[in-house]
Amino acid sequence: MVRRLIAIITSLKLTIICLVAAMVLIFAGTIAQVHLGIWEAQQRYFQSFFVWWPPEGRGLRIPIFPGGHLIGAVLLINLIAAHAKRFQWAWRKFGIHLTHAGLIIMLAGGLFTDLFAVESHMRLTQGDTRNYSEDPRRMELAVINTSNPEFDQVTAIPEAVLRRGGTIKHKSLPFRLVVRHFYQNSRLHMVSEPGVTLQPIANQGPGAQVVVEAVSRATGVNDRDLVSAAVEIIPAESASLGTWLVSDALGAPQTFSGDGRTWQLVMRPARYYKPYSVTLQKFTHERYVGTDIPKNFASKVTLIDPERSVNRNVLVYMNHPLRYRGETYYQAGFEKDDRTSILQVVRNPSFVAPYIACIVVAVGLLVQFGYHLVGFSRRRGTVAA
Amino acid sequence: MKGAAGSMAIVATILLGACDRDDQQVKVYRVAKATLESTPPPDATMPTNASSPNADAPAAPPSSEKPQIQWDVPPGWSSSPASAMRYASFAAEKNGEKVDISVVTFPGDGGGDEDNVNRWRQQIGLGPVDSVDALIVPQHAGALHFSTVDMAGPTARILAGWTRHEGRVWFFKLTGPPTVVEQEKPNFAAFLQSVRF
Repeated sequence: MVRRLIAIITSLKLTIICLVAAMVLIFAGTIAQVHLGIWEAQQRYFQSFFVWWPPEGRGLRIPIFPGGHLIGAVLLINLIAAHAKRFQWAWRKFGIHLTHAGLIIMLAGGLFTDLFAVESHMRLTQGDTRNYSEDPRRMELAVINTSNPEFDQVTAIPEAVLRRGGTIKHKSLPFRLVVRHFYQNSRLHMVSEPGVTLQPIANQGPGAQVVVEAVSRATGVNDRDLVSAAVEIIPAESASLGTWLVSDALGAPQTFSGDGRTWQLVMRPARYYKPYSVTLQKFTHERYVGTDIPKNFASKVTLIDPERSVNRNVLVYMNHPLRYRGETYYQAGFEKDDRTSILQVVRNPSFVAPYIACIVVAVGLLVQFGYHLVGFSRRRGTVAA
Repeated sequence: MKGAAGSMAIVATILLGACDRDDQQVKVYRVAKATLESTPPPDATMPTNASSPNADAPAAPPSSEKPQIQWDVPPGWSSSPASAMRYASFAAEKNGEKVDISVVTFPGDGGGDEDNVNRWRQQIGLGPVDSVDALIVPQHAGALHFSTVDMAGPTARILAGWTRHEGRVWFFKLTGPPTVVEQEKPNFAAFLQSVRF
């Protein structure tokens, strides 16, 4: 049985099946972007172990095709296993071994990047200082205990947990949160607006005056879903504190009292705090003379890290990112008023993998072809003599 | 043969470990209440990527913050309590009739101008229009660019201006009986002109 399994795992047929499946997946995923948008299509087709049907919901879901992660993982296992099974040490095969090692690093690096890399944005207007970046594609419900005069304790509940629904309990919270409604994309209207027929889903806070209309998911590259939810707050030993509407559209946090402390409730883009801060001193947007065509964007920022006694200026511009503490800051965009800069913040623990893989593959090919070239030259020399 | 099985086990273990995604976990952390401070280093005019350690670098405690905006409130306007839907509210009264002024902000672009303008038209009893471009008048307030509309229905009139800044859209809207709105129009224009971030 094990022998048979290993025969399958190490077979070239499996490689071919994976490559064909990858081609089909890429084709289907590319077509799906028309209706789903690039972000959702990536999530469903490439950054998943299976493509599911139906794609959403909590009922029975059937995997209908292997996803990008599964195909990549099987290819990686297939490559490593086949190589381990057939490995024979010989100088004449050294180049082939190196080339395969490079491919393994490339595949593993790609998979690790997909699984562990975190991308976020830091949006700074001139003079702004931030010590966190935000993921505009992922929201979080922040439940903030503001009772301490020195600091706020934040319990950040990811959008994915809210989407699952049910009851949320955490040791940092003296109450449980019950998700009554969840909207992946929504529009809010005041209940007093003419023509509004929906009923409010909350009975506390300003949400009691607002109705939520469910709308289809945003599909444009620059469009975002407006995530909204209604959560009921139920303390362990007292009556319910009511149902509250949480939505990115509400702006200011809502305040309530529970367990003798003051709390804030706010839905916002997921935040990644840093042990250092970044200040935008100046944003420069150069255009080609006489046109509106961008020539160069540059952000002059000050990096302050008290832990490492760092206080320095850095110029971030196209193809010239700032790398600091495992994160890379790229000049990604700007706002129309030319005073606001958007830096893309990427934390990718395996960012060196493609560089190493390319070098190893190149050396492997050089060694392999060099070995044959030398052998060929020698034979030719012998024949000529 | 053993090598093949071993390598499969290693990769499978890594993948199973990776299934527990960080973005599905509830996180708890502390954020200092103090405001972030920023002091550029002495050589602020000479940007460089070279490290220049400074032992006296000021501490930069983290903070939470809300969008910053400033304006000058025209005379005769009084503040009303803001709500979570409204960033700020004002009211003004002339001859016993009141106008309501609201400041609302949303992240993103706040929806299309057509939807917004038609919704406001509906609020004052006007029918929707196919193209709102003819109704929108651009206005500049320093570096800010406002789009403005002035629409009058049978019993109410709306003056509205909106601008997009730092990933948010800001709506400024004055609603009330047509006669009072006409009197408050210069104040509303001055209010928009005073907006700064």
